[in-house]
Amino acid sequence: MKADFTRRQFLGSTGMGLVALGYGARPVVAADETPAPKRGGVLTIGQDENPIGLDPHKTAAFSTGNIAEHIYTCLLRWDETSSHVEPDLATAWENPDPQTFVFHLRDGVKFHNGSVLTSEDVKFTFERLVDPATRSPWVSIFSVIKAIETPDPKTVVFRLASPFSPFPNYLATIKYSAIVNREDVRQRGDLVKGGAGTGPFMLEDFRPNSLIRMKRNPDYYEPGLPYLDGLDFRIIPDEASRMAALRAGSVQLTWLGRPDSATQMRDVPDIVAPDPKSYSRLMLLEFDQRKPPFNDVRVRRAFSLALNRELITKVVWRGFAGLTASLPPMQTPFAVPSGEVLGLPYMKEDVAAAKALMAEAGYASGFETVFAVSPANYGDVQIAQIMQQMVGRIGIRIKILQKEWSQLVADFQSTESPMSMAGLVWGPDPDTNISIRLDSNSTVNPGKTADPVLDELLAKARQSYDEAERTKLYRAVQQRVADMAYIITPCAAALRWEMWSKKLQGYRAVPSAQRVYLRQSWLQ
Amino acid sequence: MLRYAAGRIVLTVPVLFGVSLMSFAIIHLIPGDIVSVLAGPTVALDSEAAQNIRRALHLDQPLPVQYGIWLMGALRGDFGNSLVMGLPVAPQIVSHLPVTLVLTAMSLLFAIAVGLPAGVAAAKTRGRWPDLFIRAVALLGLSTPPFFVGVAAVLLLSLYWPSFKILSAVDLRHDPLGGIRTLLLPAFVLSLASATTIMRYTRAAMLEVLTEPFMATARAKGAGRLRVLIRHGLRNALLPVVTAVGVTAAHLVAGAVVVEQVFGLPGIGQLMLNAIYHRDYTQVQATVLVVTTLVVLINIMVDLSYYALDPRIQQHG
Repeated sequence: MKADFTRRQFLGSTGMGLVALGYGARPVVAADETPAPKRGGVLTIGQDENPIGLDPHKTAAFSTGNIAEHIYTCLLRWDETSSHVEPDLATAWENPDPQTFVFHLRDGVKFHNGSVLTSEDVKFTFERLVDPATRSPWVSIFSVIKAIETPDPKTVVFRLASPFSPFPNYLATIKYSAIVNREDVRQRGDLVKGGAGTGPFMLEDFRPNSLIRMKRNPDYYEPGLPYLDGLDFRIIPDEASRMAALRAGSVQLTWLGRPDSATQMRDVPDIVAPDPKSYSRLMLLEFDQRKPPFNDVRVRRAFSLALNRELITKVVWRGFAGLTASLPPMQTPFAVPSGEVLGLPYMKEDVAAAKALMAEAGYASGFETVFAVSPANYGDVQIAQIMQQMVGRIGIRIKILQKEWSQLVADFQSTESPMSMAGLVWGPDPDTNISIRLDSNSTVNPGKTADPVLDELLAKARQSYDEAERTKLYRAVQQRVADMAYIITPCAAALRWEMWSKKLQGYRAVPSAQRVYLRQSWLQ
Repeated sequence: MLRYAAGRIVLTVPVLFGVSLMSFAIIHLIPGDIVSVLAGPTVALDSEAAQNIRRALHLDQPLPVQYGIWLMGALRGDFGNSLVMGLPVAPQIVSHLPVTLVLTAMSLLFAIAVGLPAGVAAAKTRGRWPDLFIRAVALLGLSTPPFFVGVAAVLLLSLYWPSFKILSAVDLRHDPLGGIRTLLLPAFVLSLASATTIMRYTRAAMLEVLTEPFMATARAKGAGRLRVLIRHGLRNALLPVVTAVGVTAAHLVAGAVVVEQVFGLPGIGQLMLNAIYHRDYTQVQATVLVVTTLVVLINIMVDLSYYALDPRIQQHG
């Protein structure tokens, strides 16, 4: 444990820990002071959203994942750097050929209802995920599975229709592939009110809009874990109230959405408010490439050149944001690191060159256009306003159109407005969020990008199991996207600013904002 | 009086029908799609997965058909299932309603307990410093929005009185006393504006009554100052005040939406807000209907209380 902390701090402070654990510069627990873990105690968490049901397979909602991630586990899980997967319910796996994955299940794992985990449960889970009746948002991802074989109760074989390198990453993410119990689902019908998982905590009480109570799973398979006796998720939608509750000690862990609220909390004694060290929320601006003016690459390049990206991170995020190419910086090693972003084509501000490009494209006197954003999350509108100023210098007159979140998502996906921007949350694989938005075969391609060069790079990256090769391919993708300015990524920010009471020990925030480390946290 | 009451209650049926039709129309007029909520931003809205969801929720049917399906269910007492959660709506409402009812009732109680005596005192001391002071405080109370007072109260109390547990979970069924204790602060915050309104109406009505000749008569008969003020003065001034109480009660139900959000209370306001945010059409319909019924009922009770307060109305109908 001690060595672990030191190593992390070292990595963080030298800037090599790009994978970032969410904190680094401010030492949270000095290595030599780390007290021994202690059993017992209930942790109260100030939760911002009421979950829209607890079935892990029915929704992509963050609010559901926040709860399900404690009840369920997956075949694999993310290591502490959040960049590689490691064994969880499966203790070992093989990849004998690019289209076959063999998983060996852990012995003696029990679901919360007492039944023992077998390969049939795993098979059932993935059948349920692709069953249209389940209405899972991940159908298209898991349709790659051609067949699931269960030669014995401890072995599962997945046969894929084509090589698919993101597969293990999805199998490590609870939001995508939480393993459920066949009997439990048959009995309950669905898991909206909760279900039996294999996770460190089990659901005790679900009072919508008020409280979600979990108790320790005594049969959890990691010996001695979890240390906590239970988790109480107190639902407090108002950010200021959550800040007050953390100060008052009514909750010991919460997160905030605005950098200003977060900086306010940094100086409060007895509160650990680490600065995010890696950024997973990618701000992504789409152009409608089907119509003028943005069908002209020169206009898009001019737009990109007119932006001062460093200023955006400074002004909007008080410096707590990173420069980014088309993959968020936390997606190491695939993403172009923040420090190298300005070296990509058309990324560094150059107003004179931008004006020249505009003139060359026949827009010397500029044009008017509409930019759709949503005020639902902090940052989007603020960034749009700064961009409005910046591109105003080259004659692009932006009218900002504020839309409500679900309306914006619809606009974004159907390319209603000439420009629209949304913040994308963390996805398990580089393929998840960004690549599918740029692939001409993708059903979610808001900019209507159609570039055979890009398509080929993306397909190769999706099929290659060699990390070094994938990295090379995704770097090429980012180079190509920047060069053609298909999308603009002004910055990447933190998904959430997580903070907790000093009483909570052993906890660490991860950029994907999964609170999986609560299983090894304790209250002092 | 019974016939009058029955008449009023029958009249609520068309009101509720109209409200349900309007809320159905409005929620569908707001752009946005529940499918995008359920499927998330990585699923195309015209993909097969999205179409599946749409079909399962009957959202592929024309709007009048959707409304018809809902109405037929509602008439049988079946408010349908929440589109987002897939669970029946009715139990959700049953579990969220008590918090809102208790919160509103407590606020109303606070508002009357503060507003009525303050109004009488202000009228009695008209133009002198107690009157000016009460009116100044009232102006402040009226012009400060509850979301500000709420957050300020939460922050100040958490800093200076941390043992006062402000944000604990409310469970009225299993721990009614603890629940009421937690609701004290939210109810107080919610009551401020109403207390002011009640104070102003009381003051105005009292000022009028105080100049009436029967007040002097009562005093001349030898009745005590306080007795004259309350029995003869306030009793006669109450009618407009009761109207004000009715109106503020309706405002309280609306204000509860904000206060529940600030204090994280599991009331009907939260349920409604989440439903609107997620485009959970059935849930919106049901909650709006319940809140409307509540407001209509309060108004009926106000109307009926006129009878109890003023016998003259009873005689002349």
